[in-house]
Amino acid sequence: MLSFLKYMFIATLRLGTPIAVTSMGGCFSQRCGINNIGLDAQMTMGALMGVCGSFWFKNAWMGVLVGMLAGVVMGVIHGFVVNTCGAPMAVSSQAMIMFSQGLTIIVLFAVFGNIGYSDQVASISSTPILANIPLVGDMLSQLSPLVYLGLILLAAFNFLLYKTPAGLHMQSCGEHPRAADTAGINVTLYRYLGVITSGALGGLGGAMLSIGYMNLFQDGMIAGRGFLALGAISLGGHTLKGAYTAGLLFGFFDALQLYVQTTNMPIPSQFVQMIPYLASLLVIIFASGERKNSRRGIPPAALGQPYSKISGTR
Amino acid sequence: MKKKLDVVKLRQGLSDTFSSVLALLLAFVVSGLIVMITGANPFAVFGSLFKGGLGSPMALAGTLNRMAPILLAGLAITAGNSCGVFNMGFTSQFLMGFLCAGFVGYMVPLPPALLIPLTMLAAVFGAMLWAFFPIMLNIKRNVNIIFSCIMLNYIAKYLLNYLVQKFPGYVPSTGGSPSIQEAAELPYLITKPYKISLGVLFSLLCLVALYVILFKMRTGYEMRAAGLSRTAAWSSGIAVQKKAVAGMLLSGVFTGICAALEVMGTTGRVLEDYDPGYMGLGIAIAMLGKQNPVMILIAGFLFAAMKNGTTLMQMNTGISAQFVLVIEGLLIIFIGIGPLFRYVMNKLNERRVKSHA
Amino acid sequence: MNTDKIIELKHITKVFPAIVANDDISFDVRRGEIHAIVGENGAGKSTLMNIIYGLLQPTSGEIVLNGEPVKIDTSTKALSLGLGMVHQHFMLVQDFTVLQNIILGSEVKKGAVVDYDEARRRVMELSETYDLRIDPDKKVKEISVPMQQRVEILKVLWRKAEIIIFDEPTAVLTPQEIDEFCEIALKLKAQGKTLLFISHKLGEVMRISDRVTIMRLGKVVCTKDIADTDEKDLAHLMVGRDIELGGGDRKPVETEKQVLAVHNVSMTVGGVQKLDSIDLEVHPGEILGVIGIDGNGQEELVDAICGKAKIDGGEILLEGQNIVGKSIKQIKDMGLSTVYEDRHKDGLVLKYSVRDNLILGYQDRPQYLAKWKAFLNQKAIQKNAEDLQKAFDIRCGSLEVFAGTLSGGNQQKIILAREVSARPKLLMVVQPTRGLDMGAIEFVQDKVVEQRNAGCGVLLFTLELDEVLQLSDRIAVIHNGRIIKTVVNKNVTKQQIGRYMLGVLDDGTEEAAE
Repeated sequence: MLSFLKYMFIATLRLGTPIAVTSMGGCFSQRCGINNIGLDAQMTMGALMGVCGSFWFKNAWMGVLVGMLAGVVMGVIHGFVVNTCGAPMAVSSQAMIMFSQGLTIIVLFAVFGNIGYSDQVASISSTPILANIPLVGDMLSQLSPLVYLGLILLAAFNFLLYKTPAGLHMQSCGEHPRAADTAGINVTLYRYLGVITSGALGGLGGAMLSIGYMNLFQDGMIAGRGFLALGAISLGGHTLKGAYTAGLLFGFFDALQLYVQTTNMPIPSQFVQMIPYLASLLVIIFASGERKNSRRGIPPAALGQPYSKISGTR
Repeated sequence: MKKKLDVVKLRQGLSDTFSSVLALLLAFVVSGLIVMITGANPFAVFGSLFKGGLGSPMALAGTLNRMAPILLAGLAITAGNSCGVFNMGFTSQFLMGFLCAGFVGYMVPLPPALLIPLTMLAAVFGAMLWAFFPIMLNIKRNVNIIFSCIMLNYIAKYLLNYLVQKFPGYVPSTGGSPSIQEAAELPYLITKPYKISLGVLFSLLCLVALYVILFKMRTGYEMRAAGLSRTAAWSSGIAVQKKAVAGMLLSGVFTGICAALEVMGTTGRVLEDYDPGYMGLGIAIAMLGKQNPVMILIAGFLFAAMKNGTTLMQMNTGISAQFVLVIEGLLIIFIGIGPLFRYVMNKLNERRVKSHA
Repeated sequence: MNTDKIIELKHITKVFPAIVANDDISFDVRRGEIHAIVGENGAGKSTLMNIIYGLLQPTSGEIVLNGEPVKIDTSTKALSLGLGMVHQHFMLVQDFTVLQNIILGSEVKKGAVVDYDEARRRVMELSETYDLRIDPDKKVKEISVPMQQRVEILKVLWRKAEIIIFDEPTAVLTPQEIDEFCEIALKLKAQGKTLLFISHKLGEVMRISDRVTIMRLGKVVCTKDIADTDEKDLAHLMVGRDIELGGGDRKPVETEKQVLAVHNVSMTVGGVQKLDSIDLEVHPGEILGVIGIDGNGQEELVDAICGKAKIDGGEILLEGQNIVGKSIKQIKDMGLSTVYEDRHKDGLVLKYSVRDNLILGYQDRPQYLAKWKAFLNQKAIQKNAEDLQKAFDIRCGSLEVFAGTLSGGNQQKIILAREVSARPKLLMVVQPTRGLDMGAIEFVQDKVVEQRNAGCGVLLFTLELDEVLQLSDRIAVIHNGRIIKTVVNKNVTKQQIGRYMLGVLDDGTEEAAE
C-alpha cells in the first residue's frame, strides 16, 4: 500500500506537472484575454525542440530553453492569428496542430535521421541534491528539478498577476480591453505578454515530458495533453492555482493508467489507455453545469474577443 | 438593379479568391523555406508533388478517387460550421463510422445493390451517434465542445483498437479485420481508360445536397442564421439548440459517408490506429470554401492532388508524406490572417488617395 | 470675461472610407468654462472627442493646447497632457473594485506591489474634495449607474486632468440624478477645471454651460454664449429643420378588451428577485409606456412576455390565452411582435442580406414557403423585401448587401418593417429610438403611432422620459421589479414621473426596497 502511494505520488507529480504548468500558462493567457487553445501544439513543439536543443548543446537545460522558445514562437503565431487578425480560435489551434505534426516528422528526420523517434539525449529527470533530506529525501530526489521549478513558477505568476501593477493591467486587458486602452494601458503588449508566457510554459510542459521525464522524443507523445490542460483551466475555475491543481489531477489519472498497466489486472489494455481521457471528461461533465458559486469559475469578461486595428475591433 | 447586384457579388467573390490564392502562395513559399532549411531542394519537392498529383492522366484519376473522402470531410466540417458548431470530433466520428461499415460489410450476406447502401447507413449511424455525445454534453451540461470532442477522439481511438481485436477473424499480422465481402466493395463508375470510383459521384451528390439544404431550404436558412448570430436567431424564435444538434448530426452524416467510402473503396477492412488525417483537410477545405460549393470543390480537388502526390514526392526526394501537413497548417494560418491582407491593402489605398489629393 | 484659450481646434478634418465625419472643425475652449458641444447622432461629436482624446487621428488639421500645437496620438499622451474623458459607456471593469478601477493605469506602488492602503487613503481624500461619496471596496458591478459615473469622474481626477470631456453624461440618468450631476459639474468648474460637455439634451446644456458649439453633419454651425440663445433656437440649429416628435395625430380608441394582461408575475434570477408581482394590461389601440431606471426589471419583463425567460408565478394572457411556458416561436405565432433593444444582437443577423433579414422569424409563414413547405419561395421573399423597402424607405445600395453595413436608422427600419408587416396583435418595442438621429426618431415614432391607430396594442419600454411622455397613452413606472404607479398621460410632469422612477410616491412614502 505504502509503495503504491509512493508510486502514485511520484508519478502524479512527474506526469501532472507538465499538464499543470501548461494549464497555468493557458490560464495566465486567458486572464490577459487571449484564449490559447493551441496549447497542444505548443507542448509538441516544446517536447521536440527540447530534445533537439539538448542534442545540439549537449546540455539538457539548454534543451529546456530551446523548447520554451519553440513554444513562444507558436504562442505568438496563435496570438497574432486570433487576437490581431480576429480568426476563430479553433481554426488556429487546428492549423498549429497540423503544422506541428508535419514539422515533427521533418525535423526528426533532418536532425536524427529517424521518423518516429529521436536519439536519446541528456535529460534532467532527477534531483540528487535532495537525497540528503531525511525520510522523504529519497522520494523527492526522484523528481525532476522541473517539478520544483513548476511550483516556484506558480508562486511567481500568482504574485505577478494578483499583487503587482502589471498584473492589474493584464487582468484589465482580459476583462475590458477598451477600458484598459483608455486608461493608457498597452493592451496589445500585455496580451502578447500573456500569450508569450503561455507559449513558453506550454513549451516547458512539453520539454518536461521529453527531457524531464524521458530522455527522447516520440511522435505523438503529447497525446492530447495540451487539451487536458485546457480542460484543467475551466475545471480550476480560471484561476492560476485552480488550473495548476486541476492539471495535477489529470496527471493523477495518467499515473493511474500507468500503474494499472504494470499490474496484471484483467482489463484490456485499450481501456486502461483510455483512463486519462475518460476520467477527465467525466470529471469535467460533473464539474460543469454546477455554476452556482460565482466567485470561482468565471472566465474573464472579454476572453477570446480580439482587440486590434487590423481585425477592426479597436 | 440586377446588374449592380452582380457587381457587388462579383467584387466580394474576387477579393475572397484573391486572399485565398495569396494564402496558398505564401503557404508554399514558407513551407519551401522550411524544406530548404532541412537541406532539400524545394523545387524538386513541389515538382514531384505536382507531378504525382496532377502530372499525368493516371495521376489525375488517382487524385479524383482520393478527392471523394476528402471532399466529404470538407462538407462535414462546413455543415457544422454553418450552424456555429466547430466539429473537432470528426476523427472519432470517422472511426466509429469506419468500424460500423467494416462490420456490416464483412458480416451481412446481401447482394451489392442492398449491401452497399446498408454499409453506408451503418457508417452514418455510427458517426451520428458519436457526434451526438459532444453536442448533448454541451447543451445539457455546458461542457466545452472542443474539449469533449478531443477527449472523445482519444476514447474512440482506443475503443476501435479494442473492438478490432475482438472482430471475428481478426488478422494480427495486418492489425485489422478481415477484408469486407466483394459485394460490399465500391464499384467503379468507369473503368476505362482509368478507374474512377463511384465514390466520386457520391461525394459530388453530397456537395449538391449540402448546398440545397443550406441555401434553398427553410431549415438551412434557420441553421445559417443560428450559426451567424445565435442571439438574433434565438430572439426571432428559431430553436438554436435544435439547430446546433441538427448541424452536428448533419456533419455526422457526411462523416459517416466519408468513412464508408474509405472502407469500401480504399482500405477494404477496419484497421487499428487508423488516421488518414481527413479532419485537418476538412477544416482547411471549409476555411477555403466558405460555404461556396465551387470553392469547396476546388479546394477538395487541390488537397486530394496534394495527398495523391505525396507518394511520388517521398519516393523522389525522401521528404516524408507528413510534409503536406506543414503546407496545410500554414495555409490555414494564412487564410486566418486574411484581415491583415485587407488591412494592408486599405492602408495602401489610403496612401494612394492621399498622395493624389 | 475670461478669454484665455486652453484648447484651440484648427481645421480638424476626419475622413473615413465612406464618409467625412468631421469637416474643417474650428473653435476654441476657454480655461475654466463649461463648453457644451451639441448635435444629433451622427453629427460628428464623438469622432471629434475621440480625436481630442487621442483615440483617432485627424486626416488634417491641428490641436493647440495652452498655446502649443500638440499631436495626441494615444490616450496615454492625452492623459499626460491633462485631458480626461468620462465616456458615455463607462470604461469600467465590472469585476474590479471601485478602487482598482480608479487607480488602474497609474497605481501607487510599494516596492513591486500595488499599495492599496495608500491608494485608498488618497482616493478618499480626493473624493471628499469634490464631494463625490463612493465606497472604494465595492465591485463596480454592485453599484448603481450614477455611482459608476462618479467612479469615472474620480478616475479622471486621479490622473490630475485639467480638462474633462463628458460624453453624453446625462443620457442614462433620471431628472433627480441629473440635478446631482449638474451640481458635480459646477463644483468641478469652481475648482478650476475646464469641462467639455457633449450632449443632445438641451435642458442640461442651458443649465450649466457657459458657451455652446453646435455641430451638424460633421460641420460646426456656430458657437454661442449661452446667454444669447435658448432651447428652441439650439434645437433648430442642431437639426436644421423643425421636427415634430410624438408621432402625430391619434384616433381615440376606447375599448374594454385587453390584448395583453399580465397578472401577478414574479421572477427570480440567480437568487435575486427581479420581478415582484407585476400587473399590467394593454388595450388594443393604445400605447402603454413602461419607464424606469435601467436595471429595475424591464429586461426581465420583456424576456418574460416574449417567452425567453421562465417566470416563478403568475400568468400572462395574450388575447385571453395564457402564454406562460410557451416558446418564443409559439408566442410569436399567437400575435406578438417584438422590436428588441439591441439591434445587432437580437434584431438582425448582421451577415444576412437585407432581404433575408426582412423575413427573419417569419421564414416559416406559408407565403414564404414553396415545395413541401421545406423549400423557400425566393420570389415571394424578394417581393416582400421590395415592398417593405418602399413602404419603410429603407435606404440601402441593394437588397443583397449585409444588414450590418447599414446605418442604425435603416437597420431599425428593417426590424420595424418586418415586425409590423406580420400584423401583430401586440407590438412590443424596447427603446426603439436609442442611438438614432432626429429624422429616424420621427419616422419610428410615426410608425409606432400608426400601429396604435390601426388598433394594435403597443407596449413601449424606454429609459427616456421625453419619449414616454411623447408617445404613451398611459404610463407605468417600474421600480425595483414592481409596477409602482400607472397613470394616464394627461397633465403629468417630468418631475412627477422622475420621482416615481426613484420609488417615491405622491404622499412622500418611499417604496420599500427589497
